[in-house]
Amino acid sequence: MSATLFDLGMRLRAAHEQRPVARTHHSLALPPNGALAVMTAREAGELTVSASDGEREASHAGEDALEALDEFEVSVDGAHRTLVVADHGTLRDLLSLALRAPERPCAPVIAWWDQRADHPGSGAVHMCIAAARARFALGTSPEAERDLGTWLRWFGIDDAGPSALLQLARATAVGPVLPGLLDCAGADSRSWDAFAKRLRKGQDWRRPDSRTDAALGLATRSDAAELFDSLLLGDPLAAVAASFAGSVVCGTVTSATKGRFTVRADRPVSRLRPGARVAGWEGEACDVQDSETRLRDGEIEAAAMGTDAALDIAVRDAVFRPSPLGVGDRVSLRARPVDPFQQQRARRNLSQRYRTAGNWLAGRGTPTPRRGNVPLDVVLAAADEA
Amino acid sequence: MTNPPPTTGLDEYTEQIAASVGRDAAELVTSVEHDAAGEALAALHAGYTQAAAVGR
Repeated sequence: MSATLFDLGMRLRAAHEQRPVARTHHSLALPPNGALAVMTAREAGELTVSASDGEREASHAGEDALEALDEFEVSVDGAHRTLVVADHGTLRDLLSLALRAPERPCAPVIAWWDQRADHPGSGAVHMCIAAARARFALGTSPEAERDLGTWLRWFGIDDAGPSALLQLARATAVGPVLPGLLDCAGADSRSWDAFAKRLRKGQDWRRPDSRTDAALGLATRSDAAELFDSLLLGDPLAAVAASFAGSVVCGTVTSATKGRFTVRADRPVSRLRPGARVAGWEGEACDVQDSETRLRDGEIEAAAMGTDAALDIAVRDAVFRPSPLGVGDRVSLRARPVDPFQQQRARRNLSQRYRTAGNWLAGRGTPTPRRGNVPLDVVLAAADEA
Repeated sequence: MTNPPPTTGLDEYTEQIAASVGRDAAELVTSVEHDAAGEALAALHAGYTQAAAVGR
C-alpha cells in the first residue's frame, strides 16, 4: 500500500504545481535524434498512416498507407532509426499493413521494430505514453495517463499529428541518460546488423522463428527486462520509490563482524529473500549515486520479522569497498546489479545447448522415456486435465 | 501553459486510495500537505516531497 501512497503523493504534487513531476532523475530513453514518428487512424475500416521526421510529414491511406514510410526511405539498407509511436496499437496496425504488402522496403523494418519493442531499454521503438509514464507523474488518475491527449495537454504541446509525438518524446527524454542505457542501444545495433544480414542472404522476413530462435528470443527479452529493472535502481528517485515497494531496503546496521552484518529495516517491507545476492551503499536510498562506501556483494542469510514487527536482515559473505560498515551506520540494500556481459555469456551457452545434436527441445530427436518420481500435485493436475 | 492542465480522475482516485486505508480523502490530502505522521502517510508525504525536490 505504501508504494501506492507514494505514487499518489507525486500526483497530488503535480496537480498542486500544475506541471508534470519527474519519477526519475535520469532519462529512461535516449533522445529521439533522427527518429521517425508515426500515427495511424482507422476510418470506415481503412487505415491511414501519417509519418513525420520533424521537418516534413507524409500521409497515405488504404492499400498504399505504407507509402508514408517509404517516402522517408525506411528500409534495411543503412543504419536503423528509432520509431516513435503512441503505443503498441500503432505498431500492430503497421505490422498488419506490412503483412499485406511484404514486398515494400519498409515491411521488414516494421517486423524488426515489432520484435525490438519487446525489449525494455531498447531505443529502437519509443512508445510515447509508456515512456512518459515511466519518467513523469501527472496530477491525474493512472487511467487518464493512458491517454495521449492528457500528456500533450500537460506538456503544452498543441500539435496533433505525428510531430507531436516527437515533441513529447523529446520532452520526456530530457536530463542525463540512465547509466547503462547506452549498452541497451548497442544491443539494438547488433540485432539490426544480424537481421539485415539474414535478409541479404535471402531469408523471408515473414518466416516464423525456429524453436531454437524462439527460445533464444524469449531469453533476450527476459534478459532485457531484468537488466532494465536493475539499471533503474541506480537512479536516486527511482531508488526512493523502490524503498516503499521493498526492492530497496533502507535501515541501520545493528551488528557487524567480519563479512557479516545485520540491518534493522526502516519498514517491514522487503523483496530480498534468503539466498539472494545483494549489493548496497552507505546512506539513504537517494544516496545511490553519491555514497562512497559500497557493499559490492553479499548474500541474504536470513530475513526475520520480530514480535515488535521490525524486520531484521542478516547479510553474510559481505565484500565492502573501500571500508566496511559499522554498528549504527545507515545502509540501503538492493538485489545485486545485473551484469549484461554475464547475460550474454549465459545466452551463448544456451544457444550452444539448443544447437547440440539430439536436443529434443529444439526439435531434434525424441526424448528418451525414463522412470522418475512425479510430485503429487503434478499427478493431480494431469488427472484433472484428463 | 496558459490553461491549467486537467486533473482528470484525480479526486476519484484519491477517494479510492483513502477508502482503502480507512481515511477521509480530504483529510488525507490535507495531512500530506502538512507533513503527516504515521507509516502509510509517510509514504504519501515522501512521494509528495520527492516531487517537490525535483521541481527546484
